[in-house]
Amino acid sequence: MTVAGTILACAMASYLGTGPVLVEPPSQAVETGQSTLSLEDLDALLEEDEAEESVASLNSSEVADIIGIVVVLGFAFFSFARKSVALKYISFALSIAYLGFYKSNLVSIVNIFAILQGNLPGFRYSIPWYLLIGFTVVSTVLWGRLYCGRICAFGALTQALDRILPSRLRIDPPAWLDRRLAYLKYGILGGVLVYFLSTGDFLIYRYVEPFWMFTLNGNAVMWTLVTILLIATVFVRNLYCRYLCSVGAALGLISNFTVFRIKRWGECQTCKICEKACEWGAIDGPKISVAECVRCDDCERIYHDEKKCVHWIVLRKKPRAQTAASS
Amino acid sequence: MRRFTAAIAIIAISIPTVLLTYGRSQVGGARVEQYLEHLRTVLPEADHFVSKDGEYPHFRGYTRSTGDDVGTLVGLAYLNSDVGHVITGYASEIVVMVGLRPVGTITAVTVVTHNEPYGYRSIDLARFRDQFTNRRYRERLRVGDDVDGISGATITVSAATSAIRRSTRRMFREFVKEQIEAQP
Repeated sequence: MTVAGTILACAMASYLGTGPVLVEPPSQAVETGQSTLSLEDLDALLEEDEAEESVASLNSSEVADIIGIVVVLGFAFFSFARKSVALKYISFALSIAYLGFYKSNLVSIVNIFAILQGNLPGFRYSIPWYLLIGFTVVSTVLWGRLYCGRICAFGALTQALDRILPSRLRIDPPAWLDRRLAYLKYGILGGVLVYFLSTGDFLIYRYVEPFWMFTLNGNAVMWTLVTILLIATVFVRNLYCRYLCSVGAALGLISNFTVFRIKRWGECQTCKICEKACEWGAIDGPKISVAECVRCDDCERIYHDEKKCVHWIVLRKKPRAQTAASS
Repeated sequence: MRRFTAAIAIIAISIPTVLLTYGRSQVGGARVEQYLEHLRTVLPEADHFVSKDGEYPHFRGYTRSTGDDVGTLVGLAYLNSDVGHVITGYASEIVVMVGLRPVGTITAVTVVTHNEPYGYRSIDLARFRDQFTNRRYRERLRVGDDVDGISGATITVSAATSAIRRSTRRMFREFVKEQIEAQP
């Protein structure tokens, strides 16, 4: 009996269910079982695996993941299309619970690293990832930083915090400072990219992004930094999103090509209501800075409110003024 | 002109240096050295490792080797990427090492490299890895079937499970083929 024979016998024994045996007595020959261990058998297994790599063979948990992400993205878009405040908060809750704590699946700087390297995940196993990235890029080109405004779980969390925390704690940075700080995130994006491209170190994300916190898995330095960040967010609303987020900066760059922008009336030249209402410091006089706007709908709700928006008030007054003059 | 010559000289020296350094890290002994920690984890009974080249590069672990005799084969160990089944995680490639007994049973799985930002809690969790210990090459080994996906990160876990299963089957097939051919 050769060594090979022994090994084959062991393989047979294992196949027949005698458990992990290292050395089987040589007397247990290959022919003991009903089926023999053949190369054809093994080739059939390999072929079966090959066939299974197609999209048609998704299992139930993978289908559930796809449905999950479609529901979250779909609902976020629905809330955006309806311009409803209540729906927006439901969308926040969905994002925090599902994309944040359950999946911990957010667009991250590491996705930008991977895309830059052409290192895309295999489609078969990453359909939810492709849906999320696809939706983010397409929606940014079409409408702007919709992702930041209601899909990112961290953004949703800080926006929800902003509603819960008493507004008297809040400090609004003056406009000149706000505009300068907004550029900081582009600096961080550039710095992190240079660092990554020169060192190849992915793990830098832990110190520039707080998103990992949803996994509840960090070291002391990471938890300290995120605590400082969250405390600071109590005083300065959406601090991270507005000034520090490198993903937001990247989307801000893309949003310069945004197709469907928020409409402005002629009256916006002088009116300051929306500029004051904007929680993101994205409105500067008559102009909306697309790179800062996250499509929160606050200003659009004012535009459509005939009692608040100067445009409608002026329209209503004009005919009355004309009738007064003619009588 | 002098600067140009210096540049050429630097390139001429650095290229072979890089090639040699890179090449050496791929040669047997150094490769065993590189992965020794993982090899010891997946094949703890082995006291001697050999790196095998070829279409499917892998390692073999032996026990009781003395002098010229390599000893008794304890098992094979391989990186999923060497056997042609790449796992792309969220961030970058994930490399795992699988240990396989000559009878087609997985000894253990270790994660060699990963940069998973969010999926990493699942891919490198003992709870995930330990599921493969003592599993046979022909078990189904599918997430949601006979492998538990750690809640949350099913993308990476499914991809990793598939790569572990497929590389194991491929490796075992090649090993069985080798044994059959070696028979008189």
